[in-house]
Amino acid sequence: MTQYVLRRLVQMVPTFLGITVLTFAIAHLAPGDPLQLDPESARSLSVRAVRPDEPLPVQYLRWLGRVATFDFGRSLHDQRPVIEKLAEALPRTMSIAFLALLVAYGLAIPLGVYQAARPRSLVSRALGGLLFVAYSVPSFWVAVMLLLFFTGGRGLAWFPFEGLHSKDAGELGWGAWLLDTAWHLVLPVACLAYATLAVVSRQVRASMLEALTQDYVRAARARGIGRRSILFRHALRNSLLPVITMLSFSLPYLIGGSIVVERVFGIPGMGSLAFDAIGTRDYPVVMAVATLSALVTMFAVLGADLLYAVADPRIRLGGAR
Amino acid sequence: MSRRARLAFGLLALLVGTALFADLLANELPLAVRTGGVTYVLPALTKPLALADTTQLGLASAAEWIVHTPVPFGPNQTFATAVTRAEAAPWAPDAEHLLGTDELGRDVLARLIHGARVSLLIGFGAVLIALLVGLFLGVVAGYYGGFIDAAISRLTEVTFTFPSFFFFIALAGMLRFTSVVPLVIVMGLTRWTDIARLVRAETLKLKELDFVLAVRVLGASDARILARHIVPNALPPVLVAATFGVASAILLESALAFLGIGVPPPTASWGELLIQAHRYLVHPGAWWLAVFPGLAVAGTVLTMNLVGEALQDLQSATSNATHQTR
Amino acid sequence: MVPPMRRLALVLLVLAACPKKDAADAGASQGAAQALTPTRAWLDGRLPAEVTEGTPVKGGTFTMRVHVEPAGLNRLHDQMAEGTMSRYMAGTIYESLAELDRDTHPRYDLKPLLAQSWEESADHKTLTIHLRKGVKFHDGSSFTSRDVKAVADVVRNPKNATKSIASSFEDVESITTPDEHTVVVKWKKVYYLANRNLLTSLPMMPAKALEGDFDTLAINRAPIGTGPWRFVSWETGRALTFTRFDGYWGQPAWLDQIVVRFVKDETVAAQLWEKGEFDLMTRIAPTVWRSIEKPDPSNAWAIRGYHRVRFTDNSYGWVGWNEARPFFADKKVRRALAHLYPAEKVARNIDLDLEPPTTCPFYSEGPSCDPEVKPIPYDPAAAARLLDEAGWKDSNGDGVRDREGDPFQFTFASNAYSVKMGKLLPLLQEELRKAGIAMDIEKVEAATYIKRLRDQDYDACSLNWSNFDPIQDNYAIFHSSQTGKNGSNWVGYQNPEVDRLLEQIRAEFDDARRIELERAVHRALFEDQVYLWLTNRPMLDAVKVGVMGMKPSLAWYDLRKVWRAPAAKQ
Repeated sequence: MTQYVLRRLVQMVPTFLGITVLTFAIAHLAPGDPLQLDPESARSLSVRAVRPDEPLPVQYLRWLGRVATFDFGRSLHDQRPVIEKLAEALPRTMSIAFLALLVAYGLAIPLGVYQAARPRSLVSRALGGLLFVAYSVPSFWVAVMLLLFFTGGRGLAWFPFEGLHSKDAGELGWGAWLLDTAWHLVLPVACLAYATLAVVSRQVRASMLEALTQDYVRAARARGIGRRSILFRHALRNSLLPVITMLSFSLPYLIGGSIVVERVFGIPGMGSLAFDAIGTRDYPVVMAVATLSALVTMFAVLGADLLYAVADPRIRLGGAR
Repeated sequence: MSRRARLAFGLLALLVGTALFADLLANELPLAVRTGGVTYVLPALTKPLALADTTQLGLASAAEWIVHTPVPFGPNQTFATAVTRAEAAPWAPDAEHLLGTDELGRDVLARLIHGARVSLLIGFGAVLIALLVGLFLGVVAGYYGGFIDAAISRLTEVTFTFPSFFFFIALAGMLRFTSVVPLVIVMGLTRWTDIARLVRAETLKLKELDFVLAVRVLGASDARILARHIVPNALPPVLVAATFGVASAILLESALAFLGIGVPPPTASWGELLIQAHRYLVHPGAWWLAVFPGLAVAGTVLTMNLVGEALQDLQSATSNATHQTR
Repeated sequence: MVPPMRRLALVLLVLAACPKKDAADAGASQGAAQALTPTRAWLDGRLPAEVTEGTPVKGGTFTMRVHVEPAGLNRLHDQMAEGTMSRYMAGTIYESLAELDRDTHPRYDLKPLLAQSWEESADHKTLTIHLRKGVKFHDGSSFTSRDVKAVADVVRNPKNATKSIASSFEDVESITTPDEHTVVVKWKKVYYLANRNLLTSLPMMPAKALEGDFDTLAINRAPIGTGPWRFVSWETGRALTFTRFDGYWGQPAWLDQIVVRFVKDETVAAQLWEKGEFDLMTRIAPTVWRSIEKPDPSNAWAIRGYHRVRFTDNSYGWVGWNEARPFFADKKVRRALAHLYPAEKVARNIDLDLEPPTTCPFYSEGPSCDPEVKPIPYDPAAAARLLDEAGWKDSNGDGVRDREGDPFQFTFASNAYSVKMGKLLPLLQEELRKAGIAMDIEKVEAATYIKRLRDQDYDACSLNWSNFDPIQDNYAIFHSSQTGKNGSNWVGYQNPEVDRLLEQIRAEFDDARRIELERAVHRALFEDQVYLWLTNRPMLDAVKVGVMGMKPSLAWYDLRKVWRAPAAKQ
């Protein structure tokens, strides 16, 4: 096990270096100068050159050296330390992504099991169709629709339409503050979660259906073990393996999707930060965001693989792939 | 073929048909018209100079006879019916504009029909590129193994891990998007990782099989083995993945357009209509700009997903069949 | 279509058809129905007289929407001196030596602020400034001539990112401080705006706060000035809070607090506004402006709850034709393009009749524009004649004009985030196509856009010039020496006659004579069609009923005069 983890970690080094090279290249080859956000006002035209004269490889190595100590420099836009801006944005994005993950998996597994348990019932077929449709609907469109129909634009005013907190949130007690935040998070999380929910529940249903035809299930049934126990103790446990693999794909998807969701719901997270930083050519921020989200993704993939390995004793760690 | 599969291919045919015949479905010019003693057949395609400044609406009164297109507006025809309206565009759906218009008075239905062309072009184009790259890298990695495999695997990981939205936003500044081509290429070059992984796994399996070993013993070159034996056998599962890839590429295009990156104006794009929908969400509340393009995207993606499923079923049916006969 | 999809569509349509919830309390009484019909003043965007009447009282918070969050609040720093916020902080947080007198619209004479008075020598080369005594900074220190010099020195230090202000100080010979309350500025050469710029554009900050690395000063995020409000907090991405400064030297402010809410997104801003969260809503989108005019119960919140403000800024939009390109070098072609611009269609459908057309590079309500200059009318036939004369004819019958084998085909580089250009360009494209000119549209990101313009790496472009001072030096925009990186003459315009006029203006201190020269510049530039002048950009704002003392001007609202009527009246 340790050996496997170590080998995976070693493999991550070249991947990570590749990502830093790519990030650095994109940030430095893109034309344009650091700029302010209001391109229509003539005042923002005075822009100063900030690129040092050193050759790019030297700059890259210098930057890499600093990144190794988590020093991402200062934002060219507002001169604040990049790490400070990340510290503001990352928790927001990660908590939304994590909540979305939780909601998606928390709902997907029971839904999938239900569909597998009663494959012919009307509810389960309708559910299957609905989830299939949901998977095909663009998330930003869902975002716009939710805004349109549930935030008071037209129809119901159940949820706030922007931000993470109400304007007086600072004066609330922590319990009320938490409720306020949760209330603000409902729509963004729903928006981010539903596609994952659809994919995962389809996967659960498929592998449950397959598991239920396996010999050990038949054997269990023959031994007179209860239906419920067969479903949850035997079939589900084995069906979870492919679902765990999907975790490694879900997290990058959720992080990527956050750009759109954050923009629509006005949440100042990593997505918004990245979008604005690219627009203003704020290289230090751009590079930090890209590197960081790549790192998060890599560790998510590793985590999912490890979970998989733990869950499936048949996998021989460290063996040939 | 199951009912569902038939439905899937039927929808796909409908979509492709819409894209191919968009010019005849929605156009400024009629299908045929006789005016001023001259008969024009399919002026939409031949674009005669004499009709350069006219539209179906304008011709209708003067012509001896006229055969309208199903939607009598071109996708880029602005304020075609402005004369009869007091309010500013976007105009809500009515008898003239069945699905309403956008902020420039352009018919939404006409733009949706022509947008199908753009969406499919982007979806299939991007996947074709991804397929070529993924096939090549996957086969090479799986067949040769060793250092080459390790290098390609790392490259795959880098591409997979790198935040793709970031890539697009950054590249939008570098490349001059005056047509859809650069967008298609960039999309293709970032979306091959799934295919490469799949192909690599298939190749690993295939190269140990008897028939490949036999051909190798007979002295066939690597290139020949790969091209004649490995690739064709690895293709079926890859095609399924590619079909789902088309769906996700179409989704991505509309999301990019929504972020302001994408096809240049005035190209009819579904995503672009959705940006307007966001802008007019409440005042004056142009719901038709949100609902119809969203349904178009969702419908297309749904179709591609259905086709993917159908292909998957077909393929597992055939492999089960071969399995049983063996 | 698939049944499930149709069902989904139906559900959505039904939802869409739901009436707004406030429609229920519609027209409860006759009086309410009457109040729903907007007044003339409301429609025109003029504040009613009652807003400036009454006796001010102390107290209350004033919340306003700002569409862009600045990088910092140090008004001297290039990257932080973002136009909008600089304007809002002038006179509230920061004060300069003099200010533009809002009561002298449209001239805007100078009015003393931190300077009590000043004298100019007869040769205009020496300015002696007498500072007001007893002025305190927000940190409690006293304001003296040392601070004025420190601010000027920081600006003139070439290492600092102060280019946008520094250009006004290039010709300073010396700045001396004979005593605590006197500053003497000597100029190397005369320049008509030198003293005006110096007096109005330098926000005063304590000398001590300016020590250290200019990019990372503490005051960049927590400004210290002498204004009637002081900085309290900045919640990134959300809001700024200012509170009344009790040590203010002048009449204390009425409002206890000013809250600046950063709301970038137009849709979100409109929604927050509808909920009544802003006392001052700024930059209302034209479509929203028009859609709330309908005397409908769903618009009651706006018609009854807000006064609208429409005020013409010193700002105009223009289209530039790169004169280095063979097709645009010819004046005739540029005139033809003006004839092809569908001004009325744009005004009606895109600007919604809110933006007055202009022909002038100066403040349109000031005296520097020649009223005899009339816009070039939309006239495709005239355009065709001019294009023929210039040698652009469709010789191969492909529908595109050509000359010596080159087709008339170019790319319009458009700022990707400009909503107006996104709408206008497809219209222009259609008009040009009918006239035999092929125009492609390229959306360019903001960061690349300015660079492309500066490098003259474009065929056609569009931008907005704005200036907060009604007196505007157009040297940097139209003088032949200001092409490329030197200045803002990005179309590459060259005309010796205009060069001479622009140089003369810079040394002309007599207003009447200067105005004559400026009118000559206006005429010459328009004759040459250097730009295709579009419209003056109006300020489209709304003020909550009950917020008193608001009055728009080129120097923005004067918040020092603003107060809230006690809440009882409703």
